[in-house]
Amino acid sequence: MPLQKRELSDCSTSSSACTCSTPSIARTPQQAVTAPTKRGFLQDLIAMAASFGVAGSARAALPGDPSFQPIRRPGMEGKRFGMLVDMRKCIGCQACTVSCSVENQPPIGQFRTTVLQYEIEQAGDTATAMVSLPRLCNHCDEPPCVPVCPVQATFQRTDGIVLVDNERCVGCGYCVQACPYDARFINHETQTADKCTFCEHRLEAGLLPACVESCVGGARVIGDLNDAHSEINQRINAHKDEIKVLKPGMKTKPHVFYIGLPDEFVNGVDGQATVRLVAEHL
Amino acid sequence: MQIIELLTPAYEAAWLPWAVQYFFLVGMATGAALLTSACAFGPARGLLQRLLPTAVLVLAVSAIAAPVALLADLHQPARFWHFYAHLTPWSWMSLGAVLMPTFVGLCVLMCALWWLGKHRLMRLLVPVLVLSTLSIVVYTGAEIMVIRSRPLWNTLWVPINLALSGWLATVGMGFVLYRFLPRALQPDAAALQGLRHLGLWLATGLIASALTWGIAGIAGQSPSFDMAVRLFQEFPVWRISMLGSAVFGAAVVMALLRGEHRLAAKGYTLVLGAGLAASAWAFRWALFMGVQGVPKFGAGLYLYSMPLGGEGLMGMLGMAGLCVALVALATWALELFPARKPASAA
Repeated sequence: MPLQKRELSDCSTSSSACTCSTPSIARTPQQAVTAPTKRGFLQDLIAMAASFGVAGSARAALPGDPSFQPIRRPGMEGKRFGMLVDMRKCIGCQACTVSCSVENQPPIGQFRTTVLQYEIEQAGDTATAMVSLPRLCNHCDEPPCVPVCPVQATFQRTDGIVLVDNERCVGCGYCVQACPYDARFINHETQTADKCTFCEHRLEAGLLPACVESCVGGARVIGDLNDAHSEINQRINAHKDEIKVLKPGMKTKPHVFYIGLPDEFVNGVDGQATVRLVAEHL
Repeated sequence: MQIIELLTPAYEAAWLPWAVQYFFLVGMATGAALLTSACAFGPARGLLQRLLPTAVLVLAVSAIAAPVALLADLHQPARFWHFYAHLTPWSWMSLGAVLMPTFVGLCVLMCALWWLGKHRLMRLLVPVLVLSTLSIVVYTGAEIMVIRSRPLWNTLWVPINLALSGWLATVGMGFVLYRFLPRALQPDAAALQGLRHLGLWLATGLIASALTWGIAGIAGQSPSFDMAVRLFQEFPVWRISMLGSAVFGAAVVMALLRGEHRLAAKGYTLVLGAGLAASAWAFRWALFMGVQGVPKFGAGLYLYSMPLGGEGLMGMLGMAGLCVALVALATWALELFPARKPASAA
């Protein structure tokens, strides 16, 4: 599909295929909260067997099984947080990058969220298009970073938020490798894994994440996917056919959804690289 | 359509050069453990028995140095006890935290039994050590292979190559280190030829596995091969590295072949051994530091500038220094307190 310039890129007429299945969004609360399901029960059993040192269970004996996830820890009752990024409204101002850094204080040169910016030149078209792609942790439903952690320092909550206990983290970097989105990094100051938390400390207090609150164009919408009337669900439903996620082939079921994401950006960027500044030189 | 990145952050390598040292040393240790096990069953005064002291020396040095590098690769090394406080059976790295000390303990015990001349006990220990060695081969390979986000790691070819090249490093270090043993313990010409034959078999295995990977990649769906082809086509640094390693690999195989008449020259075994070990080390450098420079999402490559301190150059020099110190310590100890003659051989 040819890339549309931003001013023309109202995707309501777009014919791009939907890359994430709608059922995974419009789920009932029972499905999202793993505890009461059959699978959750099985995982409970496995974890119990494992905690008693009975490594005989098939799951526990086969580490690396891509379908295995440890049991989720308690989060905000009955909720499943997700974010919708409407790229048509992003102007690439980096207010989210700055407000996240002010709120969460990562070391200089390291970012929990940022907006990647690209220039697109299309054949036969003299005008150059710009793409601003906000990036953050996808808080996947099948996060590959969680099961690899050797000390269970990184975990997912029942509300879908993936967190790191940085007092337990040994800084082995295994989760950083396992994330297909480069959303994690080793924090220079704490020497442990660090990542976007959806500002769960603000959500708990009834506030919006810093990046959502500061977004001048209203491009970022956070909400409860289990609530059929939430704004995020309404907007996802209104744009059902244009919703995409990054790297759907990784089968991580990302819960950051994009409107207006060009197909060329779904599985990574094949293009000319910029000169990147290494953090220590900044 | 052309996409030009204007603003993207740099992502640093989460696994430091320590990981390269660890996988190099542990690969060498697994090879030395298997070689020692095989030699322990050799007939008295036979070729395998004459190779045994060399195998034991390589085993002692690599098995003791490997966990040091592993520990140092943690950004919070003092928290290593968390591995045991929060055992996680579904993570290969957590399993490794149990398997690795077991392996090191068994290796040290094997070396001690050889030193004490307890030949029968050595043979009793062999099945346990072999089992433990295989567990290390499986865990170190699987730990890398399960990472789906990096196509170049997510292939069976990685564990196979890590194992074979690690064992080739064992042969290489054998060629390098045997000269430091007391004269009576040094392998004779026939034993060195035996080591060379082992090297040739391993090199053949490596070439076969690389060809299988290539043919399978050309024939069908192999994301790792496709990624390698893309890197070869797009980036001169990868092109030079891949061609360079092919040339270097061919040179090492040629040196192994020519060794048939030249192993008596000590300089030749030194260069050959260092070349074998270097090829295993360089493979790991490309596999870890090179592949971590391939963006998971963005275009181009991430620049890796090696720090000069403990996280980079000093760390690597330190590991090399540790190995030198261990060799000196072991060979000096053997001069002062010679290994007892095995009772069965007397």
